[in-house]
Amino acid sequence: MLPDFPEIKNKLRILSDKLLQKRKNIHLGILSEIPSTTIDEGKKWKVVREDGSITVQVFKTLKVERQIDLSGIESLTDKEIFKKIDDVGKEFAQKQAKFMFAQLKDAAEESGNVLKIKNRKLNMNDYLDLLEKVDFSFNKNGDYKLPKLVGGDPNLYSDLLEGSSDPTLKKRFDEIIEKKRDKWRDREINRKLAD
Amino acid sequence: MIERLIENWLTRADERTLQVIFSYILTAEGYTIIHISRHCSMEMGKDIIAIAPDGTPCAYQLKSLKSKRLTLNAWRHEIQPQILDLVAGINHPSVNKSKCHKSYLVINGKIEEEVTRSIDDMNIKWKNSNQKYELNIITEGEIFNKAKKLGINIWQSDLSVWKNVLELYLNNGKGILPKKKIANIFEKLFPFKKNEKKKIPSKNHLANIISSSAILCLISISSFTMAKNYVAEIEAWTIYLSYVLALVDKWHLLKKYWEREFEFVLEYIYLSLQNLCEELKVRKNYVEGLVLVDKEFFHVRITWLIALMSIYGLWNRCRHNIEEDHEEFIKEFCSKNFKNMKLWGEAAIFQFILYFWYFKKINPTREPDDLLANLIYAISKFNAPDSAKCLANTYYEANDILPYKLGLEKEDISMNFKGQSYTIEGLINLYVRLNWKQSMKLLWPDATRLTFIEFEPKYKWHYYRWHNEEGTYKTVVPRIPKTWNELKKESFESEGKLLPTTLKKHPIFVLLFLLVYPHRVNSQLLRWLDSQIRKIPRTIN
Repeated sequence: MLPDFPEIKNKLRILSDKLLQKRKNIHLGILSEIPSTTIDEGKKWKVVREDGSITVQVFKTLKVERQIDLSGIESLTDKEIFKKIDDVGKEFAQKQAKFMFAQLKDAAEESGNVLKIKNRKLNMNDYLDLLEKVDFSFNKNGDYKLPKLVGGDPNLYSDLLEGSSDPTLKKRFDEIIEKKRDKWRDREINRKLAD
Repeated sequence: MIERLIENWLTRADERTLQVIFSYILTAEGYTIIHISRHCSMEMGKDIIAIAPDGTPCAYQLKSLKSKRLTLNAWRHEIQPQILDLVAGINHPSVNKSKCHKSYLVINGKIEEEVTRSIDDMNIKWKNSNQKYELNIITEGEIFNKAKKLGINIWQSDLSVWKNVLELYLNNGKGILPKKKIANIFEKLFPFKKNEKKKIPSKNHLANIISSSAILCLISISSFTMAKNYVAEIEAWTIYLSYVLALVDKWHLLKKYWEREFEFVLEYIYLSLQNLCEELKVRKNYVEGLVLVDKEFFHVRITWLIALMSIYGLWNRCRHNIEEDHEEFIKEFCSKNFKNMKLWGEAAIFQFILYFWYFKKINPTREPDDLLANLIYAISKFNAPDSAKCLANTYYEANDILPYKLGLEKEDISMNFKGQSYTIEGLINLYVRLNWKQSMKLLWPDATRLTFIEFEPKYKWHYYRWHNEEGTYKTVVPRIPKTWNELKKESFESEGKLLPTTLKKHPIFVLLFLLVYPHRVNSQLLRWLDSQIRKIPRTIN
């Protein structure tokens, strides 16, 4: 055993873990905005939905491995260390995103919330079709918060629609918003304890 | 090394520590303890009164020596004057006065030859004058052997157990008990798996483990005992009892193998609550340690103390007896300090609930019920999906959360708890059981914006473990709309079908258990407990 400094190194490890988390989130992009929580015990996650339906999932491990060449450790620069951490963060983010999209795909297919467009780019009407399929939230003043679109500029379509000069598209967009607002309002009204 | 540790432990033991050690040894040897003096101020000259397995009453006076030996000087001036009280008849309802009792002086050191001679002379003098008195001595060596004999099963334990024991032993005993550390000791000591030959451990082996683990617990927390850190002692013994019940449930152990130890430790916890109450009575303030920085800690401390005193108040009602003035003091202490209680996290919710149950016994107005309504309101607001400052979940205790509250940790962890709660469902159930329909209607919309979280252990006995790898994290999205009758039906269910049977046999212990294990609080347990607490009388008869 050679002399070592485990306590100080442990503090550095905590910092590097935080950096790794931060880099991973940067690479995850919009997906990192999905609310997350820490689960302290157990191996499974059971969800009991409002309609009484239940799903049980077993936790999966996401793992990224790296081999570090010990011969060059003494000459590693800060930049190189950062690069290594960033690489791990990137791979982690890729694996996590892949896993999340697979989950989303399964859930969307199961509920039928899938829009299939073959060999062409997403257009405004597709975007509106998508909006019709998903729920989105309103704040207490009734202002909407559109769901984010993964792929390309997340706000591109909503911005275009809001300022659109095409009256048909704009009308349809407004109607969807109104329909969703009514649905949200119904839901809020229903949030009551009846006699 | 281990033997040296026990020797050192016995040598440094003060009278209170010695009292616990010795009482436990007697219990494990089959004696029935009928009296333990609370202050160890040698009430009636007898610190412990016990009935031997053959029915002989025995009285013990314990003396922690300042030096390693009992000198003639110390014997003559400090001990001998009290010996007549020790040998005099036992005045206790459980003892037959016509029966001669045996008297023992118990010391944690050796005895000088001159003292032995003096005691012999005294015994001969009593015998010659036809008096039935006789004084026997139990010295350090004998206690050491008894403790060693009880602990025979653990001396070969994993080194990581001893690492935890030593770390606790060397702790200054003045702070918060490292609960995880003590739970880790029991986790390693208690056999929850079949042995190497794939056989179930024998009942006698399990009984021995229960006794020996108690000795190890005594050693581990001796610094806390000597510092009169009653709260830490209560916590350590509650964890010990939880693991005993885990073992009992796991292997279906019959009562005869564990009940005696269980009852003894439970009684000791009760005595610690009594001592805590006495300390609070004589204190002029409840500030502790570094005064200038105590503000935030003060509120956490008061919340905790009110919870403990509430348990004590409820327990006294079950026992139908109470130390003079204590009930009046608890009432005054709780109502005076209620304003200083602080909801610092969801782990504090059960502390508030404990007060609610006690408050209900002493206050017939709607004030206690309003406390529940306020808690539901607070959680709904704090943990709302769009909230910026959330209450940490029940896995975060004061020790974990205070560094964030005080800005010592810069990271924002509140994101983790948005839109969820481990305790709100239980609180709603308790409130609905009180039939406050209109108020509940007002609270309901915000409460339903949260998902109700609960951990479901894989096996019932896993409830008692500090941490479980197996089990299910359950999230429930509340159904809306709901009718009052549906909610009432859910709230009045209190059978506790998924709870361990052993837990349900000891309602008062469950109060301690949930105070020490806030992450085990769930709606089912709260409903069941509420039904049990309702059976406790309002007044002490």
